[in-house]
Amino acid sequence: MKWFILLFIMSMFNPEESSHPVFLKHGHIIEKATEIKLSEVSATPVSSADQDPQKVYVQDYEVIREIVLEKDQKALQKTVLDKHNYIDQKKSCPLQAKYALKFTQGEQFITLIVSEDTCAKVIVFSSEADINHQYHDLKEDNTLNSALKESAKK
Amino acid sequence: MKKIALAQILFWLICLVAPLSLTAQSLYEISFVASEVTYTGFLVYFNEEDAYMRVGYEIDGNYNVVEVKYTSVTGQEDDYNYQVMIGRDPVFITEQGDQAYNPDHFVWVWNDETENELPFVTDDPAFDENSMIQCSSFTEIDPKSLNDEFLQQFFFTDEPQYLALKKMAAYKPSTPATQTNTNTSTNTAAKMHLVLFINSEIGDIGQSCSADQRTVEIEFREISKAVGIPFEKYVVNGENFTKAKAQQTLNQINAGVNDIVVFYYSGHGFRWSDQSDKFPQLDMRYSEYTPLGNETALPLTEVSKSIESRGARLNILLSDCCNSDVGRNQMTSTTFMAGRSFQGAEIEKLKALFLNSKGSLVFSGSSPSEYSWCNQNGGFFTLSFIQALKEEIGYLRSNVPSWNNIVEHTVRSTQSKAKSCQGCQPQNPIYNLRITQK
Repeated sequence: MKWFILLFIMSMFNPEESSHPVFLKHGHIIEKATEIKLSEVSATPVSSADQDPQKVYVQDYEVIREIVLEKDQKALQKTVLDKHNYIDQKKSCPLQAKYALKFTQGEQFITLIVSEDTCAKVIVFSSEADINHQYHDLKEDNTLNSALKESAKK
Repeated sequence: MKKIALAQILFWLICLVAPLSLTAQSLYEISFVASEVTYTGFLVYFNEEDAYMRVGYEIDGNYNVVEVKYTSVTGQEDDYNYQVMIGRDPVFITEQGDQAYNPDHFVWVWNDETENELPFVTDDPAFDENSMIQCSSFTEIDPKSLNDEFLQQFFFTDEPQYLALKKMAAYKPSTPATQTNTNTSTNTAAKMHLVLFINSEIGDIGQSCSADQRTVEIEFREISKAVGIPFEKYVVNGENFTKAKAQQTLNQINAGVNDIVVFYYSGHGFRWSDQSDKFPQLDMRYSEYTPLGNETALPLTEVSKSIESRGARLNILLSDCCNSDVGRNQMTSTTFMAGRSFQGAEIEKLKALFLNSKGSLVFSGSSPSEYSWCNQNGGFFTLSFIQALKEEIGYLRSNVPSWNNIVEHTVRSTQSKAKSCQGCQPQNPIYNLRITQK
């Protein structure tokens, strides 16, 4: 089947660039972030009442270690914004968090809680209500898990 | 065929997919005009792999009927959904003479913003855009509206399909007061227990799990009504979705020797890295704030043993969840944290499956190391099972209904759904089937 026919048809109805499937119109927070922080975090979040004041948390996930990002910031921004890394369908496996990746631009922020690659998913937290606390599945062959793993090695 | 303006190309409502996927068989009438000939099609749609259309048309004063088989492909691309029905193996039902018929292919494309439009059709296997024409009508047919005049456009009166469709048209749902269980030999006082464990609260798939609950509950309630047996429901969902509540509920099932227990799970599933049991662990956590561990994991095999110990005649266990490695070994923790009605179904077929069967089916959505996939309509496995069950008991199936057929069909249909989903990995349901039928 010549799927390009269909794609051509569809493109006729979609002449303008569509918004990002995950970050909608807020991709600029990632693209133009003035600060990017990557941390390795606990698998499950800790409710605020049970949090240890001596420890640091990101969206209730305990920070196990901060990861220093060097020259890989630009690549990470591009990887996170790559819409081909995300999939509409959901896997019914339990998310086990591994990384927290926070992009800040002024008062605005987007934080991704990224699951281990045994169950590739992300939770998006943001200062922007329309994308805040949303769950998204990653494609099995996504480049985000591998990029984070690579950054974490350093 | 006339050239279409691309700006007018088809879009079809998303709800098209639901009727095409969840009934025993759906019936549609479709019309289109090509080269000044009007073609009228009668589509019988069982599932994405199995559908046929009888197409009637007149050329040079001769009326012809051709049967074309169909398989469907659905998918998403750039925020658009599409469904393509690909025709093959045309066979003349009327005298063929020296005529030939190229199978037609139908195409729908839609998204949330597009309005309902008619599908497009082409007989060009290359799908050249210049060959596509818009259908003039496409409507679902209520089986009760089928009459001789309509059916005889497509069938000879001695064809089995014609007789089955006539039977469907004549079906009148019986009320509970008039329903009687005629299987007096062994099935008096049979009752159906439906046990639903639904993770409706969990952030990522809660919506899909709730959709599964509605689908499954409606189907089994209708089945019990159709075969005239009492129905009792046990639900573990919301903030009650815990291992303790689950075990308590399993212990509450008071099944008689002639009863049917249907267990259905929709939620997260996984397997421990060092696990040998092929069936998954059911993840009984409604909140992601609860750590994963033995205290929250309920093995499907344990559920199966518990239900079988209740002593019912027939046990059907279904779990729509992943069976993928969670990335850690099992921990020995020291703490313990406590619709549509069956109007398209033959009641005798339902009785064969539910009243004249004995044993157990444990059926889970994916093989070890695999994910189970779902979308807003529910789990691929659940949708496939319901589809297979309805198809098996539909009027247009002439075979003797069997659980084996349902299982095999569910497996194929789940595999097909995962295969046609871009970005999904293969999903192969697993089962232990030990059911004997009279």
